[in-house]
Amino acid sequence: MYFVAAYDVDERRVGKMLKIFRRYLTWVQNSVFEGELTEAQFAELKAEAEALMDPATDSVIFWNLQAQKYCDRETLGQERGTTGRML
Amino acid sequence: MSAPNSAPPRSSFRVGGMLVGYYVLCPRKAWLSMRGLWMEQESTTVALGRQIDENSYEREQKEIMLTAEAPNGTPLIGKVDWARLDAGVLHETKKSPSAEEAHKWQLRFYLWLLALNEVTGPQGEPFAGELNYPKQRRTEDVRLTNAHTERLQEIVQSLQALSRQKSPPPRREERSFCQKCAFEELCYG
Amino acid sequence: MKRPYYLFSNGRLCRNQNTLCLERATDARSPGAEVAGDRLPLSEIPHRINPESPTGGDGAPQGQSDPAEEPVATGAGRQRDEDAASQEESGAVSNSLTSDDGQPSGELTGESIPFPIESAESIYCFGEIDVNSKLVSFLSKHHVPLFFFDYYGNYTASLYPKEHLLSGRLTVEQVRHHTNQERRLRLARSFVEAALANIRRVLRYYASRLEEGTEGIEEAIRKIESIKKRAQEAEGPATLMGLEGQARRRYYRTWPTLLGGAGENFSFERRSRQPPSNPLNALISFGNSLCYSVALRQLYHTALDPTVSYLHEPGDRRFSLALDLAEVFKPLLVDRAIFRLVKTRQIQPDDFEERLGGVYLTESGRKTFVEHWDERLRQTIEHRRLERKISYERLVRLDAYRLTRHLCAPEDDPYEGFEMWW
Repeated sequence: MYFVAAYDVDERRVGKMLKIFRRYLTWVQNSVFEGELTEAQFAELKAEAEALMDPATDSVIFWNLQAQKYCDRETLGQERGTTGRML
Repeated sequence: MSAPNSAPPRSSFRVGGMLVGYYVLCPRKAWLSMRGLWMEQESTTVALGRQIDENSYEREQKEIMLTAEAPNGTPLIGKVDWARLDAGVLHETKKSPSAEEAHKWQLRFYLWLLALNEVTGPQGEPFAGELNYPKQRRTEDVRLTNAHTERLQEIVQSLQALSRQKSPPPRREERSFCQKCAFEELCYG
Repeated sequence: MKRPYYLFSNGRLCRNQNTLCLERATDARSPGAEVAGDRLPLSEIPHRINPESPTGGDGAPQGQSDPAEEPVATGAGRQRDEDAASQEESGAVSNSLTSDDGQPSGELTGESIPFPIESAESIYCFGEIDVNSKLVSFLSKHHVPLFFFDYYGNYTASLYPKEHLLSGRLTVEQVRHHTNQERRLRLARSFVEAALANIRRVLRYYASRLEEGTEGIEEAIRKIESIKKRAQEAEGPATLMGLEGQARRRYYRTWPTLLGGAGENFSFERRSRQPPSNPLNALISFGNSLCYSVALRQLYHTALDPTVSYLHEPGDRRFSLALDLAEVFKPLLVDRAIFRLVKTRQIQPDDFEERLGGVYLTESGRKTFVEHWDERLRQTIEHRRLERKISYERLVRLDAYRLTRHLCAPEDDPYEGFEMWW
């Protein structure tokens, strides 16, 4: 499953959230990530994010695009992160 | 996990709850796992199951290790998911009821271990079991009857014979059944 | 879905905040001892044959076991390391201008690229990459193997994490099948038979697309079929290796024809490995080493011990079972990749360069190859027994499972190597 994810969390938790997300997905710009996850990885990521966030003030959104090939991606300006596997 | 990771020589043969569950489903799966051929490391179902197990319930008593000896002398070992000792209930959490029969036998096996250790609930009554399927919001009560105890003894005997068998039992050859199994590629690939 | 990462940059790969991070360095990579002047475009160098090439001339009888079939291709371990070392030494002698002081060749640029550990199945280091023990432990914990390639694109080493699935009982069976001559031969034969069947399949596939020259191909197919028959009666793994080598040599001779117009710039002459003497040889060597790494990666996720092999001699190379398995898949994965890349002219003569008497893919050539390779591995095919789509890479795993079944029940469930059915 191919995901785009974004979070908006209290600044005290931003750094920690970043660390969690970086382990699972590729950073594309501030607070935005994308990448392929299995169902189990997705469940793990959600569990970790949930444990950290405060549901009263923070928000994390996942868009499940099923497969990367079904989504057109277009960037204006700078491509900040590298999503490829050839580094 | 109670199934032995690498199959021990006969002298250290022991039976765990998972292995009992496997045997009920498919003797071949039990044989393969006794040989240390483990297929669940990549199974999404199993990984998800672990997730659910870890995150679904506030634990009162976590992972209780039980050991006992079967009447025929076979060492038995069980790792119980969680329990409410004050209520006399053992719990087992599973992702989906697709292999419910195996789950029931696994839990009955743990209840049997308690009975063999003469452990009872607060009022001296035998422990009860409860299967939990949090995703389906469903629980299933499991009891241990005398008939179950007899069957468990038979299963332990059969597992012992199986562990001595040089080659694996045949596949079940039921596509719909095998397609759900983590061992599918090992059997049919 | 975990997949490989391919690092072409130079720099430092490290563990950073529980994930992976590539800190890029400038592009000042050197082979340890080489000056820029050594790099000549291929077109300016008359074709030459390296006198130290370990294989004989075209058609000359080769060592029965043809041990040289693999070294560059798969060269894990000692022999390959020595080759690399001697290559570097000879480089140092001819170029006293530079020396390898063990320091990274480039300077860190400050650019750092984090990438998710959870999505890394393995990591290929084509650039000059520094690693430290913290990283190694981290990768090992996550079961991620690391493959290293030298400056020329030769496979040099792998960092194989601690095995986590080995089964003592299965290893015992593996060894028993190795020490018993008859049992070993049976497996060795299955590897060769599958390899030859796949070669034949590739020949047929491309022959049907040819407008002329098909008689030559038909003749090669007949020859390979007759070798396959002889393989059924071969008395030992060494003979089998020899037959396999013979079939491959005959097969390679058809390549210029199969490649058609695009192949005009790719003459073949003969297979040479250390170093590859022409572009096709360079492609074969590079592809074979990738194929070996795929087999090894797949074996890692099974209970099989990759050091106990049947066709190849264990001890030739560290993970010789990966050599056995790779043999079966080279036609589908490597050979067809080469045909595709050359025929579509994605790879052209200027993707090669001559270095120290050998011909190698340039960095951009390697990138093109790897990109196609990675795509190819993910290509799927409907599997008849599993009744679902299986990727080419997964087919390698399934063969490892078949082998496991054979070891458990050689009579009821004998191993038959994967054979292309399309």
